[in-house]
Amino acid sequence: MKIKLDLLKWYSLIRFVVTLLPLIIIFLSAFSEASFLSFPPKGFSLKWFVVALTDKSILRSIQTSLLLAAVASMLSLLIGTLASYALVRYRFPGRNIIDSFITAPLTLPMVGLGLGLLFFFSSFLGGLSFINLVFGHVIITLPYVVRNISISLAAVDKSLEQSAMILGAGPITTFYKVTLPLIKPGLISGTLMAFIASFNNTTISLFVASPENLTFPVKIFYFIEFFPDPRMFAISSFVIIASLAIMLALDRIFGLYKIALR
Amino acid sequence: MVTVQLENIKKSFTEPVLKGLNLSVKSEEFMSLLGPSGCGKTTTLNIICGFLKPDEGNVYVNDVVVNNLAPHKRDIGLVFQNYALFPHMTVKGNLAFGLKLRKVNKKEIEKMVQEAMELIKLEGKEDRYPRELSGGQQQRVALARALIVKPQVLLLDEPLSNLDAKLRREMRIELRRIHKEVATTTIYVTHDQVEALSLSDRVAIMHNGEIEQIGSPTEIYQRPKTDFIADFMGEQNIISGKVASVAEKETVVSVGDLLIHIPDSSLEKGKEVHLAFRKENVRVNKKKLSNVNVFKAQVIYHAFVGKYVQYLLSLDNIRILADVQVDFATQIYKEGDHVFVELRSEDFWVLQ
Ligand SMILES: Nc1ncnc2c1ncn2[C@@H]1O[C@H](COP(=O)(O)OP(=O)(O)OP(=O)(O)O)[C@@H](O)[C@H]1O
Ligand SMILES: [Mg+2]
Repeated sequence: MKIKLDLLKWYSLIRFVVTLLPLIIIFLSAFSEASFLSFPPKGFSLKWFVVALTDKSILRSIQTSLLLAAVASMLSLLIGTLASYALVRYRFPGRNIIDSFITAPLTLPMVGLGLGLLFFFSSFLGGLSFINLVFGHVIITLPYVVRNISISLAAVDKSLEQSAMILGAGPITTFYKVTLPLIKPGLISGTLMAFIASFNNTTISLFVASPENLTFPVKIFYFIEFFPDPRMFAISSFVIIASLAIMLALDRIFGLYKIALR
Repeated sequence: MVTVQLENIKKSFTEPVLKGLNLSVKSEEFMSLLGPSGCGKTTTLNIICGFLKPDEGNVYVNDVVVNNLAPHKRDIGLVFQNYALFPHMTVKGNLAFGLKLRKVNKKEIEKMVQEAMELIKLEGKEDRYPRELSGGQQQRVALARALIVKPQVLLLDEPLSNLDAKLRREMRIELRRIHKEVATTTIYVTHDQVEALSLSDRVAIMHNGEIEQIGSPTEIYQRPKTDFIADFMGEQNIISGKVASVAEKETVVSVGDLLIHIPDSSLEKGKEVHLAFRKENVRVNKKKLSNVNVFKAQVIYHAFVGKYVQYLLSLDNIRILADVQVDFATQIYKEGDHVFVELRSEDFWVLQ
């Protein structure tokens, strides 16, 4: 028992270090004085933070990514809730096909999906716009929401909804008063995962983001390709710290840890 | 005055489950729907509630067809086997749910919840969550939640099957008491015959998607109409024979070499019949005390079970069971003993 616990402890520690190491390298390198990527960092300065945080194009890409992630995850939440409800509660022809269709993007190679979307958008939907970008992201964020909500919904016994109805609640009241509160953990974690998946996504955006709508990961990708200097480290550290802060705040508010454990 | 009526209800899933079910429940009656697992009892309740639509037939509440009424407009109380209490609400929240939907004012809700808590004897536990209650307590909350809105009809789907034997006995008495107090027309679904017999004004036996017999508990117990019901209501003796002669007051049925006299005179000579008699009506004696319906027998097996002795007896080549009451003066026969079995002619009845 004792040995097992120790093993577990060491395992967690190593996992932690391995996960954090790249982040620490990025973080340290951001304080470099040099104008090229280097590790260990040469000297100490905050100049790349200044450069990064005053670079309008970078800030704009962050803004685009945040907006995109927010819209995509909210749309996924809406569509995903309805889709999950139908998939879990009803048996209808084509149910399995729709189910696999929604979850397929999780397993398909994203390059293929991105390429396909690019052709689809330019041939049928008048090129690359923010709306089309959202469309592309919803395809990859929807599975997270549907998966999470479906699992929560399957755990809500049908007899609870039936009890509400027979007590006089119509379908909408029943959903609002009984189903929704019971699937809330799934809603929150699904939407959060969708947000993160959208914010992190590079491949799809690389194909379907127009120059006016470059997302943050794509921007970093281009920068490393064409201007490899530590401003990317600076801005990445900034984003990492910001997301950690947001996660901590959300944990305080909703108890993410508890949600993840359900 | 609330009646429920099911008229020729048919419902199929992959195969037919209800095949023309008719049932009529009187006002304030406690009616049990008794049948083996999978015979369609829950399906019947779901149709009364409106969760399922019948393929054919009509559901009447107070002589009005409710087939096309949504469940939330039917004014029915329902208790599930798993209680289905809302886990995110306290006991009070659960009880108040239906009242709030009916726009009852806050003060009134408070009062009604208190009354309900008294009815189910759970005063002081209003603020608990369902998971903080025992199975029996949850059961009572579920019952109160269904009753608090004063539904026209109360439906219970095997509400006691998740409780242990002792609690089940207590809850049977509780249910009876509560039904006396509120006098709501009730349909109680169960596959437990003891529950059905001890609770109900009338019992309806379901078999093969229809009601096979309906009657008072004593009728159902003492005169089950068919082989299936006789068997379902507990081990009984069923023997098959042929009508040998029919007279005004007495019919004789021959079972092998035995001649059995029964009072039924509606039979035709030569007809094959199934006769049933209860094992507690069989008398076992050392001597032949009469000439009618007395048969030579041999003890194959006996078991002392406290209040009575259970015998397995062979009469020629048929075997019957007998439960004989005993006290310390009664002789207990052993395996191989020769005895005489005596039955009164009115203890036999003919199965359909
Ligand atoms: N939604 C459904 N789809 C397909 N078959 C069903 C469905 N609901 C019930 N059945 C079938 O209908 C039959 C009757 O089911 P029902 O639940 O009414 O039985 P029951 O009498 O309540 O049994 P129990 O005592 O076990 O609760 C069963 O054979 C069941 O498999
Ligand atoms: Mg059932």
